[in-house]
Amino acid sequence: MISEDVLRLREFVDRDPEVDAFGKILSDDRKLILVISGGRGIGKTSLLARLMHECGQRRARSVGVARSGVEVYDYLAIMRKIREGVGEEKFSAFTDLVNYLTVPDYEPKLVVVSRGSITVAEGLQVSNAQVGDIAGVKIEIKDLNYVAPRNDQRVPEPERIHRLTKQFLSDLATALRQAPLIVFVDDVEEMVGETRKWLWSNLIKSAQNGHLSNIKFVLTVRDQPPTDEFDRLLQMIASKRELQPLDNAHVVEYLERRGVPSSDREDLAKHLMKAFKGHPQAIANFVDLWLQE
Amino acid sequence: MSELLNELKRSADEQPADPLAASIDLLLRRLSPWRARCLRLCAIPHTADLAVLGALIPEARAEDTEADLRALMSLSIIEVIAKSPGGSRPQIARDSSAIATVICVHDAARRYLFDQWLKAEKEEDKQDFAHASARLVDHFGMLASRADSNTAENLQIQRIFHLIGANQSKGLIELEGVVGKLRSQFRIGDCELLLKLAHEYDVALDNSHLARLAYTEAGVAMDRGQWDRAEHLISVEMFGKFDLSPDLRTRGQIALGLIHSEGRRWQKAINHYTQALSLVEDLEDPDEKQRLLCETKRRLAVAYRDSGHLEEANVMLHESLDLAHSANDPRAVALGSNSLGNLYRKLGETQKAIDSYNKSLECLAAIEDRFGPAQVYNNIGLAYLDGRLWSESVYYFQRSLEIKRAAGDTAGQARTLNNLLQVYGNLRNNEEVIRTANDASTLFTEINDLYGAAVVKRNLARLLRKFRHKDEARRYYREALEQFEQIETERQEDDYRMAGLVGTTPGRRRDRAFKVSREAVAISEELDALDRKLWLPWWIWLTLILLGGFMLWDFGPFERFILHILHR
Repeated sequence: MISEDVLRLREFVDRDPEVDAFGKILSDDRKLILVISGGRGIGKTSLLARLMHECGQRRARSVGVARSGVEVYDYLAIMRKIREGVGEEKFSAFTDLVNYLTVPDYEPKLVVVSRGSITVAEGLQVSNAQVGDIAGVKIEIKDLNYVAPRNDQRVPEPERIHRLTKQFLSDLATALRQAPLIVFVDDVEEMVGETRKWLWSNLIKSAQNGHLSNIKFVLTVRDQPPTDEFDRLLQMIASKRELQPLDNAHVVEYLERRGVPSSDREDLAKHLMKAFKGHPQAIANFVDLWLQE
Repeated sequence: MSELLNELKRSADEQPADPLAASIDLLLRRLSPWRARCLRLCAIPHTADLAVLGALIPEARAEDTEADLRALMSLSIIEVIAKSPGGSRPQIARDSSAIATVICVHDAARRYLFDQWLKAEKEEDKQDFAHASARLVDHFGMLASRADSNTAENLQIQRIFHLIGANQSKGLIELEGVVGKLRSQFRIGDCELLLKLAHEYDVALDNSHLARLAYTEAGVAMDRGQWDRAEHLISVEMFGKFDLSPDLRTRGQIALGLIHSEGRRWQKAINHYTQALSLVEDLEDPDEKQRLLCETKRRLAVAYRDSGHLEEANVMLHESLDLAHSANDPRAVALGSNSLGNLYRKLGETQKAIDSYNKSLECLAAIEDRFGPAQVYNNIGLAYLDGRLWSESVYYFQRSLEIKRAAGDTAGQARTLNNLLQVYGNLRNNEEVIRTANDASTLFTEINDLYGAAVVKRNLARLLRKFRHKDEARRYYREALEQFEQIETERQEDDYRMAGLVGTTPGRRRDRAFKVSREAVAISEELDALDRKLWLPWWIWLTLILLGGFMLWDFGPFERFILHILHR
């Protein structure tokens, strides 16, 4: 059985302009974000798989963030995913803080709580060092199934978000000094509540302000923000691409990759274009039937 | 094959508006009836494994279920999420909770197929869906009972999702209960996930259920501080539906009262609470009636109090407390007594205020509320501050601080420290004033509440000015001013950036912006006035100028007054 991503890559066609746009933002220091928009089934997730593969080819570190089943797709899910992708050992202080906020009676090892103030212990924030290794303190991740805040505290959610974000960004900034990172974020509209705002106001803004360097973002959205609202500042740091349906030539190529006999391809492509207007998912569904029969 | 091609040609001639939907319909027609049914059923849960498939199709043999799963996995419309390590043969046992292969129907396709279920017209399809949902309720309920607490929560969410499908009323009632519990734990993100899942049923929910959902969602929006959205949900989404139960109509009016109170639109709040009071009379359940009556009167009293109608507030609060006592509801008594204490403070009756606060503490102790006393202690501290009893005031502020520290409530601690600042200022304890202000400011800054931090610095500056430490006062005035200006700049940048991306509404932010700029203006004036020998607030100067102007315009009355004085 081949993996989902390998399958997507094998059947991937077209999208050269988007791959080029991605290459450009990697090489342009002014550009931080590539926003890819398109309706359902147009191929945004497949394109992300393609671009992550491109990162692999370029030996660039990347991490993918996407909604998973019936899980909360929120700020903490995003931070945990990035932590997992970058390396858990680089986020010891963040993990310590998450543990402190979720596990009753947890005694923090790196985080200091004093007169209400919560900070990372002095002397542990050293550039190019892994915080968890300083003084040989290993932090066990207890938050993998984080659901509820600890029941012996009443920390309001805005405060939890703020503290966790601040520590996460600090740890991430240190980690990024060692190697650049590209973060792929799928289905931004599926994020709950204020997570979209969090993504822009914290993660992306930190990159824009220079607090995080060596980082780029690729986001997929269903609807592109209208041009006049995509303000001047964002236009400077972001590129936008709207995915279009496939054209006839690419449908033929897709049929070839799916193993449709060459004698059938042109005729089939013509009918598929007429029926499904180049919609990738619709075409894929039909080809499944064609190959089965 | 030619039959398939003919179908494709027919589809092309029809020029479908939705190509994806057309392709799915074609897929379902061309698959064997059994496989088509499997695919449609797999669109009911968000993910499926062998065990889920077994629950969906209990009449199938185990080995057939495995074959069905493999057949589904060959379709492009199916995503494979997880696989057992080493590619081992998946377990077949129906009640196995081991995850071998997990699949999901591609999101766009799943939405289409799920909606088809919800819009089904044939009785047979409706029954099929209800039975499948009921089986999934049992399946996830069983898994939840065997899982650890964190995994169980996620399984319970899935169970509730399918319970709505099996029985709308039951499912939504249970959802409301869970949302209420999550809100009390400050887990707003989890509430929003649940609501998002519930909304997948929108096309099938009747108006009363949609209204109920809107009300629940409004509560979560209020927790987020999204007051405009909450108002829309209640006024438009909820009251826009027909068939609102008396209970929901009442609660809706109370919620609108709360929303307007938050915006300090007292008259509107009072109107809504008053409407709620008249609606409560129509409720059938006597306990619910009494509870809502008690709550509404208390909230109405608070609106009266904060809008300056103290007599009305007094009457209403006592009525609320009477109801709370007769219902033997210590929490309601605690809340009412605390509000009464705040009212007595406004009336200048310090001892009565303290007595009320102590009553509130008694009730909170009776229900073993660990964190509630923090605010009451803070209020007692304020009462003693009003009464100029400094050491008692310090004592109670410190007690409040202890609880807030234990609770991890940083904002609460910072606010109490800000209150302590006033006490130390009155005690002329310069050292404590500065230390307390710095602590408060640090805490506010830690949680990014720059407004709170700026207010503390402003208060410190005022106290230092009172002590005649002008240089230090000037320094803190400047820091406060810089901070207010920074808040304004960041707010403008964020507003500009966020407008197109997340659809933020400017309503409440305008209020806050006005508050910030007003503070900045006041501080600028106080800073300018530091070096003046005679300093008066601007409105005093304006009054004097107007009075002078009046006297110049019509000297007669003034002349007569002066002459009268001279002749006495």
